[in-house]
Amino acid sequence: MNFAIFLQTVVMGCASGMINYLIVSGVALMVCGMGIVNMGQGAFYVMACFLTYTLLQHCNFWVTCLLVVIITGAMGIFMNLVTRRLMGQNLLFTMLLTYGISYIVIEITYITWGVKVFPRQMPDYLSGVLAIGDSIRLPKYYLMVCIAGFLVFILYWQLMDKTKLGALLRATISDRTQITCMGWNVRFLFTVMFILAMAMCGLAGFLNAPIQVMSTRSGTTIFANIMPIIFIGGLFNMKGALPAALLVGLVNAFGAIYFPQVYTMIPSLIMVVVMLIKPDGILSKRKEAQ
Amino acid sequence: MFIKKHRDAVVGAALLLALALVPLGKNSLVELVSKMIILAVLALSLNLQLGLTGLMPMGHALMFGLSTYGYGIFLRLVGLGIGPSILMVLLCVFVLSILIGYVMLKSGNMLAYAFLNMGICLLVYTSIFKIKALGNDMGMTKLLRLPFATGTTSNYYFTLAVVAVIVLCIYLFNRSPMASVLRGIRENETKVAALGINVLKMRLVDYVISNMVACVAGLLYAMRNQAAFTNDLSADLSMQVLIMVVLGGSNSFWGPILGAAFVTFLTSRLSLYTVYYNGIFGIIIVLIVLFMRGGILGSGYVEQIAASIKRLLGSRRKEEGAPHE
Repeated sequence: MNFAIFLQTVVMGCASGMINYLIVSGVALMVCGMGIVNMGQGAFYVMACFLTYTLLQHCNFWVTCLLVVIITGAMGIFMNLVTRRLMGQNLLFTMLLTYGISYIVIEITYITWGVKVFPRQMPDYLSGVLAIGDSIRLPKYYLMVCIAGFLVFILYWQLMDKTKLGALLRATISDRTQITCMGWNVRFLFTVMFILAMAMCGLAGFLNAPIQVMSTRSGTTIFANIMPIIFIGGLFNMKGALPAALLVGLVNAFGAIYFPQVYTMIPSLIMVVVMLIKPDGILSKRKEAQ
Repeated sequence: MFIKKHRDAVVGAALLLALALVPLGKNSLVELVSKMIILAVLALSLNLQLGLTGLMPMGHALMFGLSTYGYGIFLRLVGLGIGPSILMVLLCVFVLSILIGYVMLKSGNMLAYAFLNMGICLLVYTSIFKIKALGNDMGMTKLLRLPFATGTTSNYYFTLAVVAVIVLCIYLFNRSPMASVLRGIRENETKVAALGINVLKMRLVDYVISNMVACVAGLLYAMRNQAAFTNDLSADLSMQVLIMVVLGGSNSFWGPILGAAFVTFLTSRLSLYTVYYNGIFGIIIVLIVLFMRGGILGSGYVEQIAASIKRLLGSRRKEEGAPHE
């Protein structure tokens, strides 16, 4: 395989990895902060894709971005209200609840958009390829997705590490009772977490819309695609989301070229192996004895 | 007094009688009820893990689907007869569930168990799609029913007989000392371990028993459909079985059966009446999980209704001239 194809595959793998990272980091934030495994994240992602399709026909590219992120983030408030009763309860019920919510959201998506298939649109300065040298052609949109994902990653961790809100969120993740005793409104912080997670999911949907034609019925299978990433990165490990997402994205991209028949099962295989050997995630250190 | 003491036996007998009369209806009804009772057995097998030991298997359809495909493999690919195929499937599921169960349970972490369960189910599901000999995404067809049960009605009665025997066995198992040990493990694992009981071994035995029952359900399903489908292994079916158990009531015996009937009816028949069957299913799940976490039969509503009926009847009897106490 020559260098040009290698580079192209890397770019496309990273792009799909970045989109998945945005979805997964939302799930990771919700799991660490509230103990809720959101099995419905895929449904919101599909809804964000369709919102993008519709809004792109009326608005500017960047205005659409802002609108989609805001609208999906607002759904975080709704999710918070519904799941509030089950915070801290048995994990089974929260998972079933989010599973039920995903069905409802998929149905709403189906009712609103039916089975319309939208054309893929992107602004002219982003379509086409970037030519480097004679043979390397990198698709501009995928490069933009990689850069955007990386920017979001940096911004997100700046928020978490350097701002007061981030410090509060991290403290809530570590020790919720202590924060409550100190007088902070933990319910409001949970709402913020939900909004952040959903906003990232909305951004993922927005980035994905111009490059992939989605069907309204594909919401249920999205979680099966991102579940390997969640567990390779470690369920309670927020820092493992990006490496795991990039790994799975690259594996999918290269696997699609080398093993076109079986590449869909490689992420699940890696997930099972990682869960057996290193249950805290692929990049975590071994936990000391507690 | 007799009814109160042997309440479960009376309910069971009434149910069996009602189910035996089903073939008087149309063939489609017989097929639907046949699916209901098979999935009821699958739900009961999941409740053997969830209700007794507190394990949360999120990928229970694995052994169910593996036994349907196994039946197909041994019957059509390896070329054994019907009887030897059934025996080989039971043996293979037994060995596989011991191996997989040990791997999943040895960490002792229940969350890891739940997701590993789902992970292995997903892995096998995505792999089955690619294997041409197993029919890719169409599944295997032309699987055989037992020679004395080839018609719809006769296959239904055979299924009903097997299901009745299994339900009886599960009922007796629930009242056995081993079930008490498993309930103890659910409530307080450390205490049971301190009593000298090997918690891992008990959980593994429970897992294997649950999977063997799911295997029998899978064989019955393969015979009912005369085919093996990829949906039998999917995470979709796993979540549906989980919803059946939670909807019906995890801490009652008849709960999973009621849940299975309800969910099967919803998923099979609701699509005939409305296009939005997924949404209605989702709304029902959300309402049950938010407000009735014990399920229909486990939240105490049945007892409440029975008590209010008794109070109504009792007050009527008092008005009819019983002496003032």
